Amino acid sequence: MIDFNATKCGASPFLPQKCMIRAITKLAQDNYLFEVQLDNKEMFANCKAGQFFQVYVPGSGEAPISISALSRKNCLEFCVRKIGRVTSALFQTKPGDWIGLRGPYGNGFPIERMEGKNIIMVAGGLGVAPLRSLWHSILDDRAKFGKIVLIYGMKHSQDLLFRNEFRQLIQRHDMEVFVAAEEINGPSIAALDFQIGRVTDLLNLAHFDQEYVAALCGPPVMYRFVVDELKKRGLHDQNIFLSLERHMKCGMGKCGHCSIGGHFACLEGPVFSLAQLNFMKEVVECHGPSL
Amino acid sequence: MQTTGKVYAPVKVSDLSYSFKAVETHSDIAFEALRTILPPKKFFFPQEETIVMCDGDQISEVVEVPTPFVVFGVHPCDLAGLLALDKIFLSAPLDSHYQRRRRAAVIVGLSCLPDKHCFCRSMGTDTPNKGYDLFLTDLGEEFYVQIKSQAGLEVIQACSTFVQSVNNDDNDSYKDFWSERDKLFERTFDSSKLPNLMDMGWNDPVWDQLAERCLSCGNCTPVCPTCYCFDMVDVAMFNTQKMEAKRDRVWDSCQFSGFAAVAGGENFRPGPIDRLKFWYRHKLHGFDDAIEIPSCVGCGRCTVSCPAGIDDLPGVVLTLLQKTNMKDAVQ
Amino acid sequence: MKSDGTLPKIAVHGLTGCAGELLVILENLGTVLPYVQVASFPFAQSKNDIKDVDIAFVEGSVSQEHDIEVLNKIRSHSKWLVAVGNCAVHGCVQSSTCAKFTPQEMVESVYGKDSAIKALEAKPLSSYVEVDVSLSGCPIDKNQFLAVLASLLKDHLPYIIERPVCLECKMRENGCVLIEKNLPCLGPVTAAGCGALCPSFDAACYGCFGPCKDPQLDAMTLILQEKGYNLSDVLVRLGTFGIPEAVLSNLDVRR
Repeated sequence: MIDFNATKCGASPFLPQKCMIRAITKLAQDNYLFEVQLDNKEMFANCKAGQFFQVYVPGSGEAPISISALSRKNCLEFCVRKIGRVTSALFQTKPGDWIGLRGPYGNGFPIERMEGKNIIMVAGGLGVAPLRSLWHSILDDRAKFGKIVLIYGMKHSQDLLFRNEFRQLIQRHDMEVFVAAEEINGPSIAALDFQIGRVTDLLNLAHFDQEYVAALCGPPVMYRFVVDELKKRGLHDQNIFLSLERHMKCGMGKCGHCSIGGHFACLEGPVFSLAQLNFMKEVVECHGPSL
Repeated sequence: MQTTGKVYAPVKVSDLSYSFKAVETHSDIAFEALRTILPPKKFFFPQEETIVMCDGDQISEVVEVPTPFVVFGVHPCDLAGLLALDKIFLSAPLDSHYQRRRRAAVIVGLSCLPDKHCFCRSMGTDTPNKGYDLFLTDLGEEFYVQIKSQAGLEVIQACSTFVQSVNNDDNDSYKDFWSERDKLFERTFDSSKLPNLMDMGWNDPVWDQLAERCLSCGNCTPVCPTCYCFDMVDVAMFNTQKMEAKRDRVWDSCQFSGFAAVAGGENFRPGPIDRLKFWYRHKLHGFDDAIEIPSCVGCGRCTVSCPAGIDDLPGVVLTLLQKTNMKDAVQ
Repeated sequence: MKSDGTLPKIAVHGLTGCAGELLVILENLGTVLPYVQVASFPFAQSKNDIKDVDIAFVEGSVSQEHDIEVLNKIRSHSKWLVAVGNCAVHGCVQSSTCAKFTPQEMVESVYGKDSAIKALEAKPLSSYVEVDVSLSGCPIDKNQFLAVLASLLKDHLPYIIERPVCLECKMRENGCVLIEKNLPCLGPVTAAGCGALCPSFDAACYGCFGPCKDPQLDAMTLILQEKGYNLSDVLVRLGTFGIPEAVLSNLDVRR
């Protein structure tokens, strides 16, 4: 029995921290980058690539948004797509307004297990947002890692996010970068080696083998094809990491919404290795609805 | 007990149903109540509570400091249910809303005699081992009282004129009561086999048959002593001069179609069958979470509360045991 | 308050309906008046101007040519259009899901053979214009109305509960009338918001808030039939307050 008298009643873990919006940048239609100042040093110091925050818009609600970058001056970047009720409300805010943050939640990418290894990152659509925090961490400490491949695919080229950043990444000689869209529309992208096709087509162009560690973030349908391809190339299940999207509400394994066959995505995930997922039920990303 | 605080006990609310409600006198209490519609979890994890307020400039926590109260007439299955919720809400990060109410309560347990839907004996939650301050066993003419805590002792001291110490005969009657009670359970099975059974029977056609009838109405979850899923709903309000907003925590159910859906429309449990199996698995296999054990306490509330009649847990278990050749577990 | 110092404007209009929603809004006008300016509310005031409205609430179904004109005008002059009540959201009792007669037959039986009145098949607002928010109920719940308005004043889309009445009913700890009294309660498939009003008074829910999200109509009809209700009565009961054809067409017995 847990002795519920032992601990003092502390503050509610549901209380969001008030934070100011520093800047809002439009990345693409309905995709904005919010730079938010997090003065709570402890919260900031705990942040890891691949983790998420509950972003609170008073009166509207919270949405789980992954960290897209940790910038200078205790600022966090959140790349948000206007897709639901809360994100629509978030799009009504202006720099100087405040919102609430709870977090960071989740495990994040196991960057310590990637040290010394070759790394392939595969992003689909908005999945580029959490992966960006990972390649930032890796490039900040470039010498600690082996070869790096970064693949980014999207449906329409006009939805390309972090356009300028990719322009610079493509110039780098210490990593291979591939970007593709299934359909080219909108403004043309000069100096960007834009392919037409799917993420899986880019995998065929990239140079990697079974010694690579893979980090994936994208929609469930992308995972099925990418995982197949990675396995064909001989990558080990325990070296393939997927960031899963679920209905994360409380962020602390209590509300029940993000359960994947009894595992809470908000605590044990959102990043899981394929080796873990193989033994979990309800993983639609790799197996279809029921294992 | 009333010296401790407000007393809540089972009261008859309809032809067939009881509910824990505030009582004034002994005669208000329905001692015969076997199961209330909602389990006593509602006193600690209420159906709806405001947890955060926002006045335009500040976000603040809503701190409700409850006065001491007594919950009387809690049967062994419900004691086990509360202990399961403790593991969820009192594990880090600790839920202070729950904790404050739990601290303020004195729990008085009461023995019961099972009906055909009870299977606490199979789930190992049929004896009052812990989780109470006082436990009363009904020996006909008198109650056999077990005292488990200082709070319980204080209640007894306050009514010492009605209490006398236990003698050997009382001890014998007590043992007789519980062993006779054991014989009254109609259906029993070996619950240690349940996790394996749920894995083996995951694709059994029994789920299709049940799901065809499932209304996704969510009646099974609020009545369950161990269901704790909740939603947080933010509401804009007109309460004061400054427009306010509040956040309510409200009971939710995994049976509702939006429960596992994410913004953008992907629903990870789209059909009644996905949701029904999810719930059954949580009850009979357990999440791979803090509780680790099957989280059903065998109270039978879901069985009697399901309008479609598909929540006969012991029935489903026995059917699956037969089918998966785990017959030896049928006792 | 807007940046130019004026209060946001609201409009409240009724098409073909019983004015139940207008009454709910009227009764709660006192609460909202400090925050809004009522630009148009023909049911409650004589001077009305429908230009450049921030939030328009429209009650009633579209069942006459005139309704379409009014609705189009409101839509083109308002930022947010809120359909209030089951008539506006689902078409309610006058819509075809329940009616067994053509509009022509109905006009003739009510107004005689040579009447000048022309009626259309009653339809929800969304059949004609884009609706931003749908708040069902017959009539709507005042707390839901206030929450919707408060959200829209912040330019936020409101949260509207789509779960079944059963949740609210169990939270109130009512004995289940479907189980205990074998009443034809539609709580399992009806949207909450009423606080389970009918079952709290031992009456069966008759579906006046319209369907909940993803209602399990096949299971519902099966269970009511097992209780001895015949299928045609069950279908009429399900359709009384209007139910989208798309939802109803999922029903096995209809296919």
